[in-house]
Amino acid sequence: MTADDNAAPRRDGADKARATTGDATTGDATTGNAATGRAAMGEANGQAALVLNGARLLADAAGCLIWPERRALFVADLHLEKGSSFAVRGRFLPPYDTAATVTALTAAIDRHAVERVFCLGDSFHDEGAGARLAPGDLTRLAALTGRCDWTWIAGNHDPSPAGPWGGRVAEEAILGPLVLRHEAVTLSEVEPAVGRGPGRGNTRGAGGHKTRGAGRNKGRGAGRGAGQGAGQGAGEISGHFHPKAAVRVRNRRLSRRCFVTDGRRLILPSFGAYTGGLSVLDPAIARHFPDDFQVLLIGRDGLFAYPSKALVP
Amino acid sequence: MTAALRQIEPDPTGLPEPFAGWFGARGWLPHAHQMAMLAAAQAGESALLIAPTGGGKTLAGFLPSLVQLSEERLESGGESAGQGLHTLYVSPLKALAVDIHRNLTEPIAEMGLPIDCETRTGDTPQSKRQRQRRKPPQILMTTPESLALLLSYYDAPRVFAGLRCVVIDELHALADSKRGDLLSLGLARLTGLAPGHRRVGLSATVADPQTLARWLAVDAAAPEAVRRITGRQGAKARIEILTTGEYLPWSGHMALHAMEEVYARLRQVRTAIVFVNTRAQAELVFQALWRLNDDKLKIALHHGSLAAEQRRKVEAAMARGGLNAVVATSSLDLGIDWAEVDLVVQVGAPKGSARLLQRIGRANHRLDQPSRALLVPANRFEVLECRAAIAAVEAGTLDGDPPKAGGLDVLAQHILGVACAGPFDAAVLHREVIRAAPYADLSRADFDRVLDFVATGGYALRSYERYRRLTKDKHGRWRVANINHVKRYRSNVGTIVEAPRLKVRLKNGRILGEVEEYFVGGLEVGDTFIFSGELLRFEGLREDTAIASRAAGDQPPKVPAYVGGRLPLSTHLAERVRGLLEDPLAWGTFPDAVAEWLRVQRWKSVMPPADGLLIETFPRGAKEFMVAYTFEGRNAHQTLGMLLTRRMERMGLAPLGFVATDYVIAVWSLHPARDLDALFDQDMLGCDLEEWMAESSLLRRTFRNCAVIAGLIEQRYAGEQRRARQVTFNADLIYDVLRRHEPDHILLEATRRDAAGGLTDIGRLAAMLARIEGRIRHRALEQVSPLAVPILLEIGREQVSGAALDDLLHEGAQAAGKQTMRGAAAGTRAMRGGPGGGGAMNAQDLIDEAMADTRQGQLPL
Repeated sequence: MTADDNAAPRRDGADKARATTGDATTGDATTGNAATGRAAMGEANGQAALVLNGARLLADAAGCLIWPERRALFVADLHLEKGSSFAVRGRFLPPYDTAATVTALTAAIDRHAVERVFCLGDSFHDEGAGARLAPGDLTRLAALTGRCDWTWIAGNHDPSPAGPWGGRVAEEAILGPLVLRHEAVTLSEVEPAVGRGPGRGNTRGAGGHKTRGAGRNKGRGAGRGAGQGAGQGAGEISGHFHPKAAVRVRNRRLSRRCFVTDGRRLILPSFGAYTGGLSVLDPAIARHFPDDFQVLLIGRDGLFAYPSKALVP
Repeated sequence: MTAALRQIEPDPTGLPEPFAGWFGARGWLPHAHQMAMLAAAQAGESALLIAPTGGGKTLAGFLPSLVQLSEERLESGGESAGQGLHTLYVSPLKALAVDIHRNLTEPIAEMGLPIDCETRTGDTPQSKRQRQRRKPPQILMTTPESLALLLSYYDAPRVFAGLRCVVIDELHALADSKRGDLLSLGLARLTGLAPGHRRVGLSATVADPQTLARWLAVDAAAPEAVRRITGRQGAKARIEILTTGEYLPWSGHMALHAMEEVYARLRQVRTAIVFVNTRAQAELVFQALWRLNDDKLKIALHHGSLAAEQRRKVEAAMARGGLNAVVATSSLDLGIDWAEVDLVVQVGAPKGSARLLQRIGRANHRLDQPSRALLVPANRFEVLECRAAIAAVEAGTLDGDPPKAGGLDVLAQHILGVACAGPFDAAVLHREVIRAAPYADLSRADFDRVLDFVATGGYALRSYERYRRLTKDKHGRWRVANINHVKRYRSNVGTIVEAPRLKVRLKNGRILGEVEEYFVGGLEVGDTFIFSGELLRFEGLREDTAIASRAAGDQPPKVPAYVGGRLPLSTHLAERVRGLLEDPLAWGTFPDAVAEWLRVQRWKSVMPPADGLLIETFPRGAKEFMVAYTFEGRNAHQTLGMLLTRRMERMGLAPLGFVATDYVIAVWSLHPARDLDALFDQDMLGCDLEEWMAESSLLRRTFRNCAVIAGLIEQRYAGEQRRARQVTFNADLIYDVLRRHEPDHILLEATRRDAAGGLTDIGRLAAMLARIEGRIRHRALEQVSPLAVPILLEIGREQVSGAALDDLLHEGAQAAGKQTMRGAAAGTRAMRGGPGGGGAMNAQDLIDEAMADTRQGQLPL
């Protein structure tokens, strides 16, 4: 059986099926289950379809989210120049993280032939990161933002991510039924308790029924009409937390980066090469999903859906 | 120490006063090797003393220094002996340094010698440490890490200027490790600071004393400058294998079947040490003995993950003879003598003859009486292994790996340490470093790459020039760029890297010890587990501590395991086991169950040849099994399993999985393997191996260790994780990026060298493949053979740690109830049958099948 059995919707364009960032790899050390061979792996398309507040999206095992209909790509927490931020203090991490991240991002943009890119904050590791960009990386980044309609959402690491690399800067963005921001809004801040937990996706379609005052958006500026359609956090895509989750299979604990969603809001995994993770069971993340939620674990090549109750600490 | 001296016939000695009087007052005479050590000191020569425990080895190491200090005082007519540090003692264990200190202050006081003798370890208060640098004692007892720290201070030249002697205890345990590398570099430094000093190594019996002499020599190129002194060998140990009255298991490692018999032995002796091979086994064996303990024997538990106070308590109780038995791991392999131990029990096969000898040496330190030891094999193959180990001990043949080159990560740490003490010249430092034996072959080019790594990270992309950690001054000497690097060096010195751990604390009570984080990750509140000898209930995580309460009940508890706990079978013992199998005459003395097992094997198949390789193939269920009797140890077999299945995949045999023990590897597939010569060809160790190595968790783990030791990332310590999370990097992420962008980077080079040298599996595999070429004996059987039963029983019992990540994730996602996200349908590939697909075997069916036709007495002998 091959990955062709996957029910992922067809993508337009002639892009290749493979969705991995790494080289074709070969299983792990020690005891083994031999037959997992690369043949089976190689054809995994590493994508999973999901519906978020009515929008039909595609999660990619590289760690980004695609909205094929709008030819848009969402990605969070690139943390460019994280390596060099440590070098300043005398810890010489390999200075290739920016190159690796930009390469992976370029591959995802090409793979899905998107025209719009939204980077949901913490794109740069700190405010000095832009100045530390190697000339080659800067050129490649500028070429990317020139090719696509590019939006940098501000994050806590990069409150003003404008620079010679181009793209527009925003506090938040709205795209149809989706609101894009760096950090998920706390539910209680939005709509105190009222109507929490009626069925999922009840605010289907653009411009949902519920509105929320711009001023309540954690003190950030009005952005672009922030809050349209974001009632109860519905239709929200955010980053910030670097979610990861662990499952136990055959007595082995496997901890991976993941997408988290309850069908109404979604938190993206971090995309940067040096970014670690926070468990989705941590209250900081879990409080954004008061009911059951699901994760899409990012494997080596594929994505794997687990309900929240199947996760282990 | 007093117990270490024997009462023997008087004999005039050359001992000066007050030593002669002190010995005489006790009716003692020094041992010959103690006098030989004194003579070496008088000649100003370094010395390596190889002696069994209980031979007065430690006093032999210190006696020359005491005599010298005492004489210098007399000559000067002063009250105090010479000023400043005279003798530095380095021990692998903090606790041992403390014990030796206590044992040495006693004779010093009794002889009225005005000699200061102090310890310096991580536990020494800051004020005392500062005072020790200002005014060092004449004898200082310390560890390799504390020595490295002392050397990193600007005043090291003054502190060590008058140093005359360095004593290194348990040298055999230190030399071939990264701690040994660090110590060897520290010693090379001392040679520069105190050119006239001599070195003394104290070691247990080893396979290759020449290697130790070379390690100890002031100049590795001149090992002959080290005088070799051998202590009197004690009486030969009496080693017995427990012939169990119980049913001898076919597989498994815990040997719990024999605990009643072990307990019966414990009742007959005064004090016993029960050695086991892993911490998990220690917990289980302790529980089993405790359940049997109707006589209320005082039995304690000792292993490296228990709280330090708990371990100290057990050691103190042992020292005063307050215990009947202690169940211990290698945590008690080293240490001071307990004269009263009259039996050593080894539960499970000893895995190496040197290790067995070391453990037996822990019993009965009176040299004129034989040590007594009892080996308790856990299964049939272990009976053979125990036999082989006893034969090896009796023949005096010890296993030992060839010495490894010193780690480049350790060198990086050392270079930064040197810079912390003051500016240095690269060429001078390189000349100094290559006098240390582990670094004797270090090229200047490699040295410079490591230096560049310390200075700027050493990346081809020279992007960190402006953040240099080391800068060159106008004399061309290297200096630390700022004080923060010095602080960081000092808080990270050392080479011991551990998996992240969590403390285990009783609810409102004391800390019991530490377990690895991943184990706690698998616990749910209410789960029971055994740790520190207690049945505990997991109550949850609080901060970075696992909270537990005492529990009762019958549900089977979990047992924490620790990474790298199990040593593989040594090459030397493997050879002897093969020899035993091939020699039916030797079987007569085996337990009946084992002898029958082997006889049926010979009848139904053949015995594995000593110089070739037996491979059996047989169908079972819908699968084709292949069992190879390779005897190269678990680690090598894991690699072999991966290589074989990869190759079988290409041959279209559809391999489904494999399982390995120390002795045997079994692979199962849909189609039978026929061309075994091609399958086991030497070219197996080509591209597949390199590709696999790079991805393997072994290399990732090795990289993490190197990165921590070299100072690229910082280690997470238990209790510090919240803080550390901010600054700690996932080594895997760095490894992936570095491997893709700069595969030749010095840290990856260091990792590859470590992995190749440290495991020696690849070497073992290469030697094996060469040895068996053209000598494969293939038996195509119709059913499982007796010898293959144990490995088949491991299927389904071994944790499957190697199945490819995505297949495991897929399997788990399916099992999670197909509650996939709306519309999500990722990965619906089916598993093509893992070891689970191989099926956990029904033990009795297998055994009946293998041993069939013999129960009616039809076995031809």
